[in-house]
Amino acid sequence: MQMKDLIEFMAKALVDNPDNVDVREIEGEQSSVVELRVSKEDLGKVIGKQGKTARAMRTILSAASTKIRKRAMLDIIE
Amino acid sequence: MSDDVRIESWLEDFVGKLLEHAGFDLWVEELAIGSDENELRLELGGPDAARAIGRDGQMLDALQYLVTAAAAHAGMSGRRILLDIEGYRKRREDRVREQAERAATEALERGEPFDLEPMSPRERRLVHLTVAGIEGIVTESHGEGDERYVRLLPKSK
Repeated sequence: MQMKDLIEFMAKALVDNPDNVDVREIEGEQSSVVELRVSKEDLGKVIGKQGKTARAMRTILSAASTKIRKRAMLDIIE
Repeated sequence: MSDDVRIESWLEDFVGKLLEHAGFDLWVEELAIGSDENELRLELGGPDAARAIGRDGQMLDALQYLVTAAAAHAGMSGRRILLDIEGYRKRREDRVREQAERAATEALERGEPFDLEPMSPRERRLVHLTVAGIEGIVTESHGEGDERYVRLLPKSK
C-alpha cells in the first residue's frame, strides 16, 4: 500500500484529464509529502467547493499513513 | 445493462478499490436503494470499522464525500449516496430523531424556542422531517457552515 497510489487513485476519479495526473512522493524519515499535479482546468475538481474535496483526500490519506506509522501531507501544486 | 445495475457495479468497484488503497480492512456488505429511490445506501463492514468511522464520523464523512464527488464525475449526479459502516449512521439517525422529539416536547411545555446542537445538512433535514409531524412546532435553521443548527419554535396561538 502506497500513499502515492492512494492519491493517484482518488485524483484520477475526479478529473477530466486523468492522463495529466502526476503524483510524486517525497519521503522523509518520519513523514512524507505527496505532491499532486493536475491540469489547470482540473484544479477546481481536486480542491472542491470550499476546499472540501482536498480536505476529504487529506483525511483519507491520514488513515492510510497511520496504518504504516508515517505521517503524510498532501500538497496540491498550483 | 440497465442504468441502475451500471451505477451499482461502478460504486461497488470504486468503493472496494478506495478502501483497499486507503489500507482499510473493510468491504461492501450490502448495496441497497435507500428511503427514496434517489438514495443509494452502501453498508460497509469489517475489522477496521471503528477506524473507518473515525472520531464523530469524520473519516466516514470524508469517504462519503469523496465517493459522491467521484460518482458525480462518473455521470451519476442526482443520486444521493449514503455510506454507512456497521449501522453507525443508522444509530446516529435514531438518536437525532429522539433528540428532535424531546426538544419539541420541551419547546411546547415551556412555550419557548429550543436550539439543537449543530448538525450536518442530512441530520438537519431529518429534524425538519421529524418535527413536521408534530403539531404546534415549526423549525428554522440558523448559523453558518459547520455551526448550522435547527431551532424549534412553538407556534404562537
